[in-house]
Amino acid sequence: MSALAAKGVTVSLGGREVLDNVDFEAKRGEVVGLIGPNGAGKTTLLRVLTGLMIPDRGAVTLDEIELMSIPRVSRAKLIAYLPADAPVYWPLRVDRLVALGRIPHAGPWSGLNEADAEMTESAMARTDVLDLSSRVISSLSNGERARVLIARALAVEPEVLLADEPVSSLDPYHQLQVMELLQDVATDNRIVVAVLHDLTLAARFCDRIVLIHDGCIAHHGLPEAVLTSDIVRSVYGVETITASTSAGDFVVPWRRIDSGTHSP
Amino acid sequence: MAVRTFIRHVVRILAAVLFVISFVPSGAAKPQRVVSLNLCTDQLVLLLAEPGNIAAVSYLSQDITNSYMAASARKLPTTRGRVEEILPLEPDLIFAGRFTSQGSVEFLRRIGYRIVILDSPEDFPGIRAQVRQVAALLEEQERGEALLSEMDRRLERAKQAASGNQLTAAFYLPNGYTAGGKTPVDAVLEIVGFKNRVAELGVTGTTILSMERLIAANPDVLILSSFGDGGTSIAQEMLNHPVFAKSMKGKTLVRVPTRLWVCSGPMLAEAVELLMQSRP
Amino acid sequence: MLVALSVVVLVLFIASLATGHVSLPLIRTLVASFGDDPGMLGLILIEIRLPRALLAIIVGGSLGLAGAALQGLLRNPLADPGVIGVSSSAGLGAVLVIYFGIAAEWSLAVPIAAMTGAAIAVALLLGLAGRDAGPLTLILAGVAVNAFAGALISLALNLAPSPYAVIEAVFWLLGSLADRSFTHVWISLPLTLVGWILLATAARPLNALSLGDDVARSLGFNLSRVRGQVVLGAACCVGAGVAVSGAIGFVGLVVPHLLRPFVGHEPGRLLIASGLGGAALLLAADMAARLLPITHELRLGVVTALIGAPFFLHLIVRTRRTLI
Repeated sequence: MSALAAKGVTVSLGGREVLDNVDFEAKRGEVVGLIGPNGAGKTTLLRVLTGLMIPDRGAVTLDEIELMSIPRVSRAKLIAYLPADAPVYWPLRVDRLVALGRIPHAGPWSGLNEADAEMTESAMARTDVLDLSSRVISSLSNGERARVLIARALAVEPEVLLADEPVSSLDPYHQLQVMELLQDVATDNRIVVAVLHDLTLAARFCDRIVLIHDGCIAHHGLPEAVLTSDIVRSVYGVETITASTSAGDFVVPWRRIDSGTHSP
Repeated sequence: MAVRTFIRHVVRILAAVLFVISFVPSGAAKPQRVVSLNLCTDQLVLLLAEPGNIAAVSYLSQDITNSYMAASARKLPTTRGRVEEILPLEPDLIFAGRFTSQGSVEFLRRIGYRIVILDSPEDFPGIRAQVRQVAALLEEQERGEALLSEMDRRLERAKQAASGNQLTAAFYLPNGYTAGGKTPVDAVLEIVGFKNRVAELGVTGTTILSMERLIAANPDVLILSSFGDGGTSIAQEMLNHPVFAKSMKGKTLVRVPTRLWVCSGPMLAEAVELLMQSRP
Repeated sequence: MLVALSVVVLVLFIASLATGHVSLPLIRTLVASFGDDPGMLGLILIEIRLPRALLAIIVGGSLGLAGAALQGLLRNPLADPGVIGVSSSAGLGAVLVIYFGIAAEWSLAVPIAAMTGAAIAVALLLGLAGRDAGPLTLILAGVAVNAFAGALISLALNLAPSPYAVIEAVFWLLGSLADRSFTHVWISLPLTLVGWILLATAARPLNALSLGDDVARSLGFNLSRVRGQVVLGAACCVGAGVAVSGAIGFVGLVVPHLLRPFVGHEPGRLLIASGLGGAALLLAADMAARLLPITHELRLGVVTALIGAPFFLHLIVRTRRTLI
C-alpha cells in the first residue's frame, strides 16, 4: 500500500518550469533515493512532498489523504524535513537543538516531559552525537553538525523522513553509519526519501531509485535497473566504470564525456 | 513804494504763519506705525495705542492661552520677529523685550529705526513706571493714566479686603516653574495677603521646583495655571496631575488663567481679583 | 535565573520608591499611606513615586521583551526597538494625537496611535530588510526609519498650536518618567498586557526559527502568523510605553545581549528574562537620573544612551567581520 504519493505535480518558479507533471510514490518500509543532476528539481520535489511548497498543479497524498487537508500541527508530527545546508542562527547547545524536534508533540501549555527527553536522547544515540550533547553547535565540525541536525529530524519520530543530501559532508565512516540509520528508520514501517549524490551509496542502501532530469521523472525502479551505464551517461554526461563485488555490480562515474583527454 | 510795503507785509504774515505752524506737533512725533516684537510689550501696546497706529504685534499675542489682549491682537497683522517681515512695515517705533533676537535688534538699530527695549518689571511700582514710559512714547499719556488708576483702584480694593491671617501660597507653572521672591507673582501674593511659600524656601526669581518639593512644602493655597483652548501639551497635562487635587483636599487650589500673569503688567490686577475671590 | 532576576527587580523597585528630591522615611510613610491621612510624604510616595516605579517596570519590561522578540524573529542581535526606529515611530503617532487635540477627547487614543506608528515601522522594516537580512541592512533600515520619524516629530511639533510643543520634542526624543501619574499607568497598561501576552506565547516558534524558515514550518508553525504576532505584540507594548514615557533607547539591545549566554542563546527562553532585565535596567537608570547632582533631572533616554551607545559600539566591533 503506497503511503506517500504525488500525482501530476507541476511547479513553476520565476517563469521556469521546475517540475513537469511528476508522479511519485514511496511505500512504507522503503528507502527511496532521489537522484539527478544539479538543478533537476530534486529539492523542489522534496519540498512539495513536505508540504512546504504547494504545486501549481497536482497534489500530494499520505495514506490516500490529501496532505494539505491534514492540520499543520498533525502534519508536523508525521513528516520531518531535513534541508540541505540548513542554517542554525544561534549558538545553541546540541541537546537543546535536538529537543526542538519534539515541538510538534508538546502540548500548548506543557513543556517537554520525560518521554520527550528519552526520545531526544535516543535520537542523539542513533546518530552517534551523545558525547557532544553539552557542546555548542557552532563549535562542531561540518560532519558533527550534520549528524546533530539529522538527530533533530529523528527526534520528531516521524512517519516520513525527507532528507536533502543528508550525507554530503560526512566522512566515509559516518556516511555509512547514516545510510544504515536511514534503512533502520524505514524498517520501522516508515518512509524515507533521501536526495543523494553518491550513486554507490544510493545503489547500496535504497530500495528504489527515482531519477529526475529537467523536471521530469526520467527513470524509476530498482537500483540495478536505474543505475546503468547507459542511463548514467545520458543523464549525467559521464562515462562510468563498473565495479564488480560480491554484493553485485556498481557503476562509478569515471570521466566527463566532453572532457577530451583525461587519464583513464 | 506801495509794492515794497506790500511785500514786507506779506513776508511778515508769512513769517507769523510759519512761526505758528512750527508749534503744531508734526505728524512724525506721534508714532503711527508701531511694531511690537515681544508678547509682553505687545500687551502694553495693545492696551495703550489706537489700533490704527499699530502696524504689527508678535504672533504669540494672538494665542488666547498666554495673551491677555488676544482678542485685540487677532484683528492685527503679526510678525515672527524676522527682519524681512519688519522692514516692509516701515515702523516709526519698535518695542522689543530683553531677550528678543539680538541680531535683529542690532540690525534694525543700525539702519536707523527707533527701538525701545523693555525689561520685565519686578513689582507694581515698576509696572507703573513702565506704563508711563510706554504711554509717553506712544503719546497716549491720558490713556496711560486711566489704565493705571483703574489698576490701582482694583489693587486698593483688594488690599482693603485682605484680612490679617497670613496663609502660605505657592505658584506652580507649566514645566515646573515657580516664582520666588522679587518676582511680579511675589508682588501679587503680597497684595492679596498671602505669604509666598516658595520665597520662604529661599528661592528668588523664577526657577524650576520638582513636584515632590512643592508637595512637601505644603502651602495652604496652591495656585496653578489653567489653560483655555490653546492646544494641549505635556507641560499643561502636568498641571492636571492627580497629586495636586489630593494634596490640596481641605485646602485651596486655585487655577488662574496663564494669560493673567505670564506678563508683568496691568493685567496682574485681574489676577489679584481672582485670587481675592478664592480666599478661604 | 528568572527567580534571581525577579528578586533584583523587586529590590530596585523598593529602592526606586526611596529615591527622590525629598527625603522620605520609607517604611513609616508606607504604613501611614494605608491610614486615613497619608500626609504630604504619603502622597508623594503614592501619587508621584509609585506610578513612576511602576512605569519603569512596565516600559522597561516592554522594551526588554520586545527587543528579545524582535531579535528572535529577525535572527539578528542588533534589533532593538530604539535602534530600528520602532520607538521613534511610536513617538510620532503619540505626538500627532496629543498636539492636535484628539487625545483630549479620548485618552486611550495616545497609546493606540503610538502602537499604530510602531506597527508601521516594524512592518516597514520587515519589508525593507527582508527576512534574512544581514546586520548592516537592518541597521541602515533602522537609521532611515529613525531619521524620518524624528524629522516628522519635529515638524509636527513646530506646526502644533501649543506654545510648549517645540520644547517638548526633547521629551519625545529622549524620554522621561518624571511627574507621571497613575493616569499614565492606566492608559498604558491594557495595550502593554496585550503585547506581553502576544510576545510571551511566541517563545516556541522563535526557538523553532533558529533552525531556519523551512524547518520551522515543518515543525508546524505558520510563519506569517508568527511574524504578525511578534510585530503586533512588539508594537503594542512598545507603543504603550512610548505613549507615556517618550522614546527610550538601547534597553532592548543591552539586556537581551547580556542575558543571552545565561539562557543558552535560546530565543524563546530569553523573552521573559529580557523583560525582567529591562525592568531592572530602567528602574536603575531612572534612579540614576534622579540621583545625579544637577538641577534639571537628567532625561531617562540620555542615561540609557550613555550606557547603551558604548555597548552598541562594542557589539559592532565584535561582530565587524560578520557585518557584511
